[in-house]
Amino acid sequence: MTVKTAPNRSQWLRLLGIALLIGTLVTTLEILTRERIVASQTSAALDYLRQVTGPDDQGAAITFENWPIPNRQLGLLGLSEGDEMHIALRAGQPIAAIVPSISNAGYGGAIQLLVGIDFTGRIIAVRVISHRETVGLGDKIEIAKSDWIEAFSKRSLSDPAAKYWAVKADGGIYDQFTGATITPRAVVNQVAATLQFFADERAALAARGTSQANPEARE
Amino acid sequence: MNPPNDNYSACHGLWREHPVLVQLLGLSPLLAVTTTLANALGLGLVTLIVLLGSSVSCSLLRRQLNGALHLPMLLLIIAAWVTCAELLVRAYAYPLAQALGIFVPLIASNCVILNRAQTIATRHPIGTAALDATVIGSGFLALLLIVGAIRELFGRGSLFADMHLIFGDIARDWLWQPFDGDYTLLILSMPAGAFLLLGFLIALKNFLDSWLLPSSESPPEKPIAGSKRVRTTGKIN
Repeated sequence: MTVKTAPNRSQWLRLLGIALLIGTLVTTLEILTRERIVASQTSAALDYLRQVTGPDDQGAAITFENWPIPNRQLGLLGLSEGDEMHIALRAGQPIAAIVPSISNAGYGGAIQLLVGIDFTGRIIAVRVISHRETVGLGDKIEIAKSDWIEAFSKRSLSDPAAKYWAVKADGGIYDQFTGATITPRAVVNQVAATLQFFADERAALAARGTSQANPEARE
Repeated sequence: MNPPNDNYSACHGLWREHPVLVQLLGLSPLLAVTTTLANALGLGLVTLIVLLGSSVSCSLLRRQLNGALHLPMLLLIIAAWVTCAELLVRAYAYPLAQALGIFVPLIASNCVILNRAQTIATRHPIGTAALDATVIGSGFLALLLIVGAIRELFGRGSLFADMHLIFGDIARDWLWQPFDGDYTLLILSMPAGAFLLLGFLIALKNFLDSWLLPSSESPPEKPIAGSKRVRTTGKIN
């Protein structure tokens, strides 16, 4: 009973009708859940923030604020307008920037990173928030699968020098994985770009922190 | 396509027509996701819900879902349910969504769901379609759990790891590690090991069938001597 004839107009109309009905329902659900999904992502991101700011060893509690990212830097970080970075403050003073950064050079689409940088420009930690790299190969960038990502800790833009900010296959210092070079290369290059962003903006961020801590000193 | 089967029995989906063990459908999630019991449970439950939803809606719309364009219509309905499931998992179980990753959206490509939509849901009333989806989905979930438990226990040396992704914080101390901490058997953690394991499970099922139910497949009746073969068209009930 397989139908061999070409679809007629009423069948196309039915397909269109079902597509419209389904499109409406899915869009409605998307709107209903959007807020909740963003909230879940934020709370998961907060867990990551605590991982990338390191243990709270100095006594005073660390608080987080969202600060805007200048539009001219969005391209470098792979972000879109309205995305913000997080600033960790201790006693009102900014001590670290946690910068979201997205690489589109991965093997399976966007790799979302969170890069924690202290105000001397050194990396505290890097974490992969989401990725679609190959299971068993590229997924070693996750802290749950391997400690490869810890190789960035304490590194800065000058340590190693710029030309060594690459995977070993490209003459740098960072390991690639057997059978997977594209994924670690994408992460290394994106982390370097994020450090560059921070180097460009550090003065402005520190100034904003000072003026926030002493509001009366603001002009 | 087969004509609607009037003596359809839903229970067959659990054993005789098991979607994976017999029909070998839905292997991709089975091999990729079942590294732990928690992942298997998560994906199995989401698949069950998507299967139930798509079967019921296909059954509701079954008068519209025919003709040359029925396949794109079924795929649209299934994809819609998968999208809804993904949105809900991300909204209410975000860590689980992260653990399952791309395999939640990939449920849309699970042939079990399209198979049930096409062969059962669009040909039967809602009750039958819902029952069939529940049975098939439970059978799929059960096998995911078996494979997930074996792979986690013998591949990583633990059981009930990451159950908090599904049950929340009370499940954090459910982890059971019978072997010592460094034990791993890499092959079982990889899809190739899952494939091997599935082969053994299918062999076990076939063995049980031939051992427990030797009479279930009686030999074809011999034609009575002297009778002529009669050619029939259509179906005789």
